[in-house]
Amino acid sequence: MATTWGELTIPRDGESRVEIGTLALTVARRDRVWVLGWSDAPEERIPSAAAADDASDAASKLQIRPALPDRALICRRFAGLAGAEGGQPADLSAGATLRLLPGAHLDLFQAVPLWLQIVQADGALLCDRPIERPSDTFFGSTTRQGELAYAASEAAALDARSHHGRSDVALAQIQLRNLSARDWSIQRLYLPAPSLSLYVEGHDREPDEEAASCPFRTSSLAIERADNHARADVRVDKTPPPALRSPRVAAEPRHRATPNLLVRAFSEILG
Amino acid sequence: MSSFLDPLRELIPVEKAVDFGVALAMMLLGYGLATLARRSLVRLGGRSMTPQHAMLAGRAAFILIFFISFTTALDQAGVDLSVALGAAGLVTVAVGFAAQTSTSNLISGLFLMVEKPFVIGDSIQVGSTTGEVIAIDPLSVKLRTFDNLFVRLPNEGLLKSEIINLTRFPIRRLDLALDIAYASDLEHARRVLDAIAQAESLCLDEPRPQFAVQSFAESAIKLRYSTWTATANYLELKTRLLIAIKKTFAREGIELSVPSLSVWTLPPALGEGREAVLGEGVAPDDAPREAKAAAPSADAPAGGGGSPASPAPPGP
Repeated sequence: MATTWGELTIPRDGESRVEIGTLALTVARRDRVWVLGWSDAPEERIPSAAAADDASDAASKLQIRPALPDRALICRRFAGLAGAEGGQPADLSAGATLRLLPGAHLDLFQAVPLWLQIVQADGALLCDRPIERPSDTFFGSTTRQGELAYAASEAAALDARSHHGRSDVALAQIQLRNLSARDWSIQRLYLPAPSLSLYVEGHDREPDEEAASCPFRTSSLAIERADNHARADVRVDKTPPPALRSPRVAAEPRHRATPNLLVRAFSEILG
Repeated sequence: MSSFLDPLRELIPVEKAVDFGVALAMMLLGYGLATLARRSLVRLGGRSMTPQHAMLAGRAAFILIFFISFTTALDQAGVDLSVALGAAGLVTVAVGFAAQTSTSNLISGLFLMVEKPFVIGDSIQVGSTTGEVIAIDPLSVKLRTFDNLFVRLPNEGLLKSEIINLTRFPIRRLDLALDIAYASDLEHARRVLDAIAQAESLCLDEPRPQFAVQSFAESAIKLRYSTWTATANYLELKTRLLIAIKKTFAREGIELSVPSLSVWTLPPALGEGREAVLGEGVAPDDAPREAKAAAPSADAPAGGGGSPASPAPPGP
């Protein structure tokens, strides 16, 4: 039984099982066809199946690799920021709204659910699905104009170690900077997940304590509000996250942004 | 030396034959150019305009180029175009009377293309027909229904009809009408429905689901539970929610109500010849013990409930 990412070798008429998070995946090789079965709920091992042609007689190796979501992620829970009042320039007294004081900055860590991709030896993608499907949500000013996205199922946290031992999520480090002269009240954060890279600690180095807590990291983001407008700029850092000592790219961005293009994000401003 | 071609030579002189050949070549060349222009416009225009506009531009280019090459070819062949144009005027009047419907469809098609109530790929509902738009042509719109039938809708009729575009907006509200028994706890029902919606990943987290008590009806409390979903997931979510509601309500003791009628039977002595008394709800206080026992209680399982559905057999 394989329990991690990487290469999977399956003999002809053989079968292998992979468990990542709550997803149990069965990969079987049947007469030039791969048969994939998965079960999201651990207590219900009734797989649904998908089949894909395996043109090669000899090929019996598959790559099981992580990827980031195919839609943006909306974070609207900051309940994990319980320590924000203690010396942090943020106020959570308004419940689900995060209020950042003028001139303040704050680093948040948001868990981004990972997708699982199964790739054949010739590069053909057999499967691209979430380990645990997040809820859909809508991000827009009206129900007519906006963007379908995923709702983050976990609250943002101040400490990366709050996701210790997770191999089914990647951590996104978000730096919020309030450069305006007024309080910045944030109800929702927009994470352009398809435009982010996914990194993992390289094999040659041991990760430090913070990186070891969650092996996968996304590109870091900086969200700045420079004036009193309702919009804030999101800047995606193209360099690997500093928490990884020897970072390796585990997945390229699904959508490549134009160079120097600032991804625009919205945040609801209260008051 | 005479040959079998001599009569033909006498009929069509060599010079004329050459002109005819050149005219034919021009027409063929014009047709080729027109086809090339149409295909190029459809392909290139598709990047910057909607598919039907690209298709329309392509057809316009085809007709224009082919018309020019056709008239030039006729001129080359020695056909007097002024006569042809004069005849065309008469023909136009005759055709105009005969083609009123087509003309109306054509003009309606232009209005539809400008107004753009739908584009190719949208799912629309017109009257009792629902399907995916596969072509918007000058005379008609072609649909593929969800049971894979081909439907042609004339543009004139479309312009006069109410068109519902099912896929114009990215998200859609799913309204579920639920009737629950009077004995059920409304607050509990609300909590259960919220939990079902929260657990269902196809339900949008935002906009939030809405719970509304519609009315107190004859045999049920009418509820409406509305959730939002991606337009493409509408039917899938509806099925999933209805299955989940049926299961969860049964587990949580919330009773889905059905229209029902209670039948009370009385012993002959008390009924004084009446065989049955029809009533609703709870048995009257003065009804005999046997009659009350025959009436299913409000806590009876589904099919009974506050308004029992199974009539008791008529009295002796």
